[in-house]
Amino acid sequence: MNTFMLLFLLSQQVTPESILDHIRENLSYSTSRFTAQIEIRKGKRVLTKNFSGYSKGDNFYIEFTNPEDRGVKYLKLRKDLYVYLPDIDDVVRMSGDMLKQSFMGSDLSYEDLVQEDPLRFYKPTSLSDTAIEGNSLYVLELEDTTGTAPYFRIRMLVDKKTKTWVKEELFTKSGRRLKEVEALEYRAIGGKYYPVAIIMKDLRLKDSYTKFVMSDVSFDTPVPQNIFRLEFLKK
Amino acid sequence: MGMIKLAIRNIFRNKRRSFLTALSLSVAGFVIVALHGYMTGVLNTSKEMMIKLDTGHVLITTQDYFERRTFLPQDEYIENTYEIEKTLNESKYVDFYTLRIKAGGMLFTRTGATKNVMLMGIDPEKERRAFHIEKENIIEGVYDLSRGCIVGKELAKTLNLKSGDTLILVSRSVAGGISAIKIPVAAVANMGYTVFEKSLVLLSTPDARRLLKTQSGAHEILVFLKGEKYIDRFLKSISLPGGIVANPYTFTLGTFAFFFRFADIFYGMIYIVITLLAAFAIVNTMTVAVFERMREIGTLKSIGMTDSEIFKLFGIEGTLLGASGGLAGSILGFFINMVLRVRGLSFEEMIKTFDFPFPYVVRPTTNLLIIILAFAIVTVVSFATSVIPALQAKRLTPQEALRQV
Repeated sequence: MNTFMLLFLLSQQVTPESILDHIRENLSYSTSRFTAQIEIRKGKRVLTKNFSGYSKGDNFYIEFTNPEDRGVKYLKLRKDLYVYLPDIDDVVRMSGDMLKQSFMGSDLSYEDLVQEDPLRFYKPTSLSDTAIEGNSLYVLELEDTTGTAPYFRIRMLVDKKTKTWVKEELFTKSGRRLKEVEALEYRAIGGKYYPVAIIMKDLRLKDSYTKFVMSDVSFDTPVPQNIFRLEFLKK
Repeated sequence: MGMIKLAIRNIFRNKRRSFLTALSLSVAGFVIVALHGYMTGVLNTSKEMMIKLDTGHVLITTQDYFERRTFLPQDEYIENTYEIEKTLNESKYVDFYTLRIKAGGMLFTRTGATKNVMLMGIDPEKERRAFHIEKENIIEGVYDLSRGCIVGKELAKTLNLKSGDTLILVSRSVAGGISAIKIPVAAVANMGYTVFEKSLVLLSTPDARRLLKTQSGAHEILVFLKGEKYIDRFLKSISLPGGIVANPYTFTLGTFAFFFRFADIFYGMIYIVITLLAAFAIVNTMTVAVFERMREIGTLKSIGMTDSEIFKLFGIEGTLLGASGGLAGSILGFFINMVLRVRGLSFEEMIKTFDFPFPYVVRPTTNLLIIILAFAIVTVVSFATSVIPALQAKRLTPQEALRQV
């Protein structure tokens, strides 16, 4: 009986790995549909862009609907990212250094956008407790062990109750803080607890932030099959 | 007059010694003139390049653009340039000005090659005295922006581009949306500056506006004044619309301006040291040449020449040798600098791997005042050095002087 109790208690023990696994699990799904808005602030200017799209496994499709970008479509097929540009009625493939560019002028890079399960690159290095404004949080430190992640170190604040991340700080190998991502709102969708509003700041830029707000999102629901084909982009 | 004749006769009496002495002095004169031309040439060419290609004497932009200029914020542009242009046209300090449209972008070729690039829209007519690509720097195609864009030769090499190829340029419109144009390559050019060679795509103003989806306006107005000395007076004399700022190139360049100031002082110090070394070489040459003539001084004293006459004789000889050598060397230095100024000194192979604002071709300066300075230094130092043994011989009897070796 004592052995059983001990095993039960051990299985309930919070480890850095178990928290990371929980976060990754919470963000994983086979398909998704979404409609979203991006608010991009650069200096005094604030731009708003709307898009909707689908994802399936590693692939996703996004189509912009705001007047300035109407008809711009992105398609990620396996490791490639394609863009349909209505101005020239043509498709280009983004690759190499180009992926480090900002996505539609936001604080998010194309590299950030195309990473499938980005936390898979990381291993926890430490776990500690903290409290901010009365909320009990874990401080989870992650480090890239593969040498392929866009950021070497992540410092994550995790809500103790829901085991969801509330803030991430992304660092270079030299310890420079590059970006900061904060979850503004979580919503329970299809049994998962998903961040539907986040704000990202590229700390290299002054007076700059990008806010993503998902107005409509559903997971593990059927998505149109023909969308994930290159030929569909030009249609 | 008789003393001068005697000095000239003395110079020609031992032609080889006199020639070698004058040659050494001419090297000193040459170094003083040539080095000055080269050093000021390096600094001036670098500074001029930055002013012409990047800042003008004064750069007019929106406040927000200026603060984030490194990131080329294409949405921060001067929408209406009419009022500013009117002010510039009326200013007595303005020589000319140019309007530039700048943006970061992505380049895609038909073969699937891609590159992040810097896009710059210009009016070639207005840029004639600023960002002008000389005919000999066009490697392929024609310098005609109405036919397409111009790309740097390194960029062309990386992407295997040729004139006539069609490119896709993708950027963000001034409204913040993604935008693209298809444009042929009109020419591949040697831009003369590493950063531009690797990443610049030069467009006509209409093509740049088409890409950025704007009817008018510019990101930067580069103002070129009638002289650098008018910068402060010009800045005090103008009034600009709200949100628009005018900054002198020294402020715009930031650390590069500091580099220029530092290099100016550093090169100045090196120049002083080199000039002192040249003077030391003159002292050395003249001292050896005159001290070996101590016995001659003894002879002159024993036949009745006074100390004052000996002093004059050696002084005149030193002055003549210094003047002839100094003048020849200075003129040679001036002439070589003039040739190099026309032909240019190419550092392309050496610096093309560095993204440093240093021009491929440096042109030494030529300055008549430096010839006069070099001539004066060599002559005065030669005179001063040549009379020292004569002054020393003053204290000696003819017999003592004759015993000197």
